Amino acid sequence: MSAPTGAELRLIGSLKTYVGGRESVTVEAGQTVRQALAALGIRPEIIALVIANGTQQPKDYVLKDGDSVELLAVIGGGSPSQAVNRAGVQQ
Amino acid sequence: MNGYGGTILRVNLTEGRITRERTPDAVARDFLGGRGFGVHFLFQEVPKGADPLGPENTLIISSGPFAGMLIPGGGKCDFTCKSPLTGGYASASLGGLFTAEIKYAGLDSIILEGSSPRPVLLFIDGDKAELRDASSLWGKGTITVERALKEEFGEEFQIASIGPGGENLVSFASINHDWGRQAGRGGVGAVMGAKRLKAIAIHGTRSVPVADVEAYRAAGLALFKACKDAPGLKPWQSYGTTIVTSWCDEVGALPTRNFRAGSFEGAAGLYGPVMREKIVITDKGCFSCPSPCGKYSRMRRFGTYVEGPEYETIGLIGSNLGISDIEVVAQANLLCDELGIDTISTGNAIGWAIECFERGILTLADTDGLELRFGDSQVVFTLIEKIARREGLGRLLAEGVKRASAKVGQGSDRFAIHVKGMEQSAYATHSATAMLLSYMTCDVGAHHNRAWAITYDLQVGRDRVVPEKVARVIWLQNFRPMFDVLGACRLQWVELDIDRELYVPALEAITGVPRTWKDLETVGERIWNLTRLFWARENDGFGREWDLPPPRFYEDPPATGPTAGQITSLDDVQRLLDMYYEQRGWTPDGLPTPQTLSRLGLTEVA
Repeated sequence: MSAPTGAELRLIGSLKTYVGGRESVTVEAGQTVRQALAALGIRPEIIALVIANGTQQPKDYVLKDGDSVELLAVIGGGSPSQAVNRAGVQQ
Repeated sequence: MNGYGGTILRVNLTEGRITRERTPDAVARDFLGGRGFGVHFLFQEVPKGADPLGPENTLIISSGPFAGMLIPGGGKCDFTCKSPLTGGYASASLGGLFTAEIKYAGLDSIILEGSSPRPVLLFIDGDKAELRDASSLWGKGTITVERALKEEFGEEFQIASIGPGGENLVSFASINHDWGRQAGRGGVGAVMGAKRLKAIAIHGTRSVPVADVEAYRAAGLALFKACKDAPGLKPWQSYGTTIVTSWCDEVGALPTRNFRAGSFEGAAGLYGPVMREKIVITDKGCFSCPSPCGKYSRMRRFGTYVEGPEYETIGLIGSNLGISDIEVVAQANLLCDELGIDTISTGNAIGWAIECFERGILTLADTDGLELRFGDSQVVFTLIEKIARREGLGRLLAEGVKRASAKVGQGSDRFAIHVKGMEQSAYATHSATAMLLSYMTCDVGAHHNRAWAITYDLQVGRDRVVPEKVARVIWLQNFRPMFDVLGACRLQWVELDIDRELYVPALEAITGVPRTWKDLETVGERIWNLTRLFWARENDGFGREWDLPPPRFYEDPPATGPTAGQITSLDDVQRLLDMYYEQRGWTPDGLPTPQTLSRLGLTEVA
């Protein structure tokens, strides 16, 4: 068996909306979490916690093949689209 | 009345008389419970101009329709009174197990009025309620009192008590329960102390009438399933509120050295995973909680245990005082709990005092010879004791930073971090305009829990001053406090992101009254406007000036960190208020217009 290619990002909570409702997305190894987030259109500063293979890591952590990375956003009350719509204004 | 205890217990401490009255249907309809009941009774019963520490102030403790029920976190209890810290409206929320017993004792609110000539204990066992002598408990710490009363009455009794801080009328004294949960803010503990009510012990045995038992069960289980299935459950339960410590540091929101900056060079020692590894021994939940975010910690160096510290305590006692050792923060947390003072206001008061000392405004003559420095744990421990006992410098700090800076003068009000007299909780708001507006307009003073808008700032651009941000703050202010009204924890919605529509069928099944979130937000808006009327009634000249933020956020840009060089200009502050008042339907001076009051059914009150 060959080694897994790429790193799996698990997007928790409202982050799913950024990847079409999927719970995980595979990205290329060799880039930082911050770079991977930017490529997905996610502002790095809304991520509260990066847990790579069970350990907290900074957003400058360089992804390796086979990594499993959980990303938790600061939610603060409902996903942004839902809340903004209820306030009656466009984001 | 389905979903309610049905009875208000009125305790007149001056006369030692306890009476019962039926919970009015109209109050349940218009204010629902919890915080809604609190502000309704406060406005009705406390005479204009009442001394917050006088017998004419009342302390109203309220349950809600979700309290004690099969609802995630259905264990929230509201404590409302006129605040001795701010002179305005105070409402503090308590988790744990207390509110369920209120409901099971057949009660919706306990109204405490008058003032006892001697220390007493309110003992409620089922339908029996009586005042008992508590002289032997006076002077003791809250955890000590809880242990003693549980040994005397039994584990099934739930205890809420004050410590020396409340007895000594510290303006930000707390009420403590369940070994480390607090009704913390606004000085509710001082009001209890002024009434010489040391503790409440309560145990109820009644069942709660429910409109549709099968629908209730189904709706309750659906809520629990949503929590259990939430992908965020595991990290949330692992770290609780400390999940945001590293994030706040990264984005410049972590209060540092009396809010002079928003990130701290020693913050890594305070991060959630570090705390979990170093001191946490178990998770701890409140009543009916599927996602126990409380942490119980052991401080080996001190040989002690504490529930906590929560993020707010880490921010205010840790980084805000230059402390980078989580074990020291936890020990200071324990001291505050046992002595019965709010960690948020305490951290602010000590931070202000240290900055005064650094600037030469306070000297060794004012501090009993204590050199006040950031990062010195002994300074923190010593001042906590002095505040709670009102000794030396503690007498000044026990007044809160607004009054303390007015007394000391010399420009110290420029770095007294409060709004309306309440010290700011743990988000630095040099550059986060929605969160700044949230603090400016919060109904109790600078507290975060009505509108935790800082995430929205990060999502849409932190320094933008736009109507959408104002709308977001107002929506949160109307909606989020409804959890305090209903008697349930908001964190399953906030942190686990469960669909709020799941709560609607549960409420209908319990009460038999169909409601939508739109209806509930109107109740929230009614309560928000009534609290505003209370501020205006109690404070001559109340208006726009009162909503201004601490000058630090429009005058003193941080020198370091991600927000270095950034502030929110006073012009932008005023623009935020212009938009806020307009969207709220208030006058340019920040008071509800007659049309707004009429729309909310508050014309008669005004």
